[in-house]
Amino acid sequence: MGYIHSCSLRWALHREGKLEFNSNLRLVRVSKYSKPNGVLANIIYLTGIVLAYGSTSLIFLSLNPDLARLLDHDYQNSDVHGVHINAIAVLTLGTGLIAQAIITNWALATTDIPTWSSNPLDVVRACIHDEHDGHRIEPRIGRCMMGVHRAKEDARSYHPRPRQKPMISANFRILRILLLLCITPILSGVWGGGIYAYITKGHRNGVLGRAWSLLPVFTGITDQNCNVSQCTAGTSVLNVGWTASKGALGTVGAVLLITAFQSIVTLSLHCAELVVNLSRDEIIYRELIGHKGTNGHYNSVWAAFTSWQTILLFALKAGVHWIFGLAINLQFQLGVNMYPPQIFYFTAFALITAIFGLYLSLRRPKGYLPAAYGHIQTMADVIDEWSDSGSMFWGEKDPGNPHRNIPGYTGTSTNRLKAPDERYWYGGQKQHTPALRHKASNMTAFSVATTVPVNMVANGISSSHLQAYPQPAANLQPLYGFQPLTQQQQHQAPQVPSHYPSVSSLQSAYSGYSNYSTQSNQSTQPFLFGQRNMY
Amino acid sequence: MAQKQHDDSAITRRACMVGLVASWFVAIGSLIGGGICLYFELRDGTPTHIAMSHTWREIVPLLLNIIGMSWPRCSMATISFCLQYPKSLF
Repeated sequence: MGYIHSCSLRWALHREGKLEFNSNLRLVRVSKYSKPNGVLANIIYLTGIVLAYGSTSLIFLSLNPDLARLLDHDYQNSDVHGVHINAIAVLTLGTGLIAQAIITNWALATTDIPTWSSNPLDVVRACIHDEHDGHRIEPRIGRCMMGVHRAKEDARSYHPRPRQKPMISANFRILRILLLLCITPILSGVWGGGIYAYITKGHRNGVLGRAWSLLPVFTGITDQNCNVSQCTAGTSVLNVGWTASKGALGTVGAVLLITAFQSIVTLSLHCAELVVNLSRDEIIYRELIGHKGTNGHYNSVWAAFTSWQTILLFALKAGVHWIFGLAINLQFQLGVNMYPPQIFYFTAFALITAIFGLYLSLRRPKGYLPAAYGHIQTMADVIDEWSDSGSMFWGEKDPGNPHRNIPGYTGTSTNRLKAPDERYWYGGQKQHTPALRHKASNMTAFSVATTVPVNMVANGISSSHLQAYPQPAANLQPLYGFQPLTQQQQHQAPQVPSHYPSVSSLQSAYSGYSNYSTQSNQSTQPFLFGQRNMY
Repeated sequence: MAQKQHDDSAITRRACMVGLVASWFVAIGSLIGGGICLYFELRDGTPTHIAMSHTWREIVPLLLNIIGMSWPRCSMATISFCLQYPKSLF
């Protein structure tokens, strides 16, 4: 269900021109027009997840007679054996699941999903090749060495770097996620410390235990050498009350109290998922510089099974929720109990999750390939040729001419390519025409067979006329300024490929293709740099 | 270069459909089961009782979490395996 919801969000954002990254926080990112991904739907979905996770540990209620004796509670023999099914928790689980299922079905019915693949390369290709509600990602030229960290800058040449910048500086949401991940162990530490201090101060419902085993144990043996209310050889416990014996209202209150605590855990783990997904997107993308290139037979499931980050996150999610269920739970007839040792173990698990997230977000990928972290526009800029087989390599296509200040060019191919040279500048364009180099001392002519905007064609400018400089953003502007076409020019304009937007929609295309294009001065249309501010 | 042998998008979509349908079954099953348990609880005055040891009672939620999170992946893996190697079913 979560995958469908996140797929739906991805393509809803794309249709709004707001899709920046392949992976998004589906419960935090909001789509303006797609209601299943709106604010209200996300709140209901999050509530559903919290209820489902929280109620799982509350379905089976048992009564430990030793604990009941310690807490001075009466019980019947029939209560002690086996477990009791908490009907309220089962109903809560069903409600949580059905809330998620309804929204997922809604998202499925109302969203047209061009590709279900989670592979960032498949997603970028779908964004480039197909137009969705007037939005399509346009590859921007001259940015072959510009990673996601430079996505907002104007195009220019750069030296390749052996290591790329970390994820934390690529996506501003990562910092917030890390803060949330770091706050969780702090809060749980304070919670555990507070409960432990409360017990040691002699609260009448508290029992100070000596056991620190992972699973709570209750021996029933009381320790006479005790400075607090009661001491035992088992696990420390604070009985909060809210028992099921006080009727359904008490059970509902207990379930809601525990799920409220659990909501913080669920939200932080959900956010940790984004860190892992961005990291996995980057790993898939960096296969471009691997020995085998990108995998044409990519399988999302196999990728998840073989990714150590996903496996570790999976283990942490299951473990954290479970240990949380041990730290605070509902005992039959006794109500809500909190166990300080298990709260501290939960703190340790939460700390491991935070360290894991911190490691992934600070890790610097190796290799000259500019980092993308699933950033759609960056990958569209870097990958210049797409292979039908899905198998591609990235590398140097033209070293340029360093002596004449002509930048080289990197791109993708189905054949293995040479790694770029750290000494050279890269940022030129594909398909150099060396024969024309002598015409200008510091410029190179390029063919742009598939990327000539409509107005250039209409004005009689063919691809052979186009000239680009090492920094085309500054130099092309006076030559090929974009002006709206007159009706006559529109009529006279030659036929353009069907996948390009119409003339009337060309102006709107400036702000349509990606979120960056609305903030940057650089258009997503080739050769139209710096012209957006005219409108 | 050869075309892709299978479409990851199609496999993932099928697996998502299977997961969604199963989720509906589990959700409605939980509501019906919870309703039945609540009915018996209100009628008899005591909750439904199952024989289970204390240790299992602590571990079952973890197993439910693991199954809940892993079975959609397992079903996806099975589907993709069957689609990639159709003859392996026979």
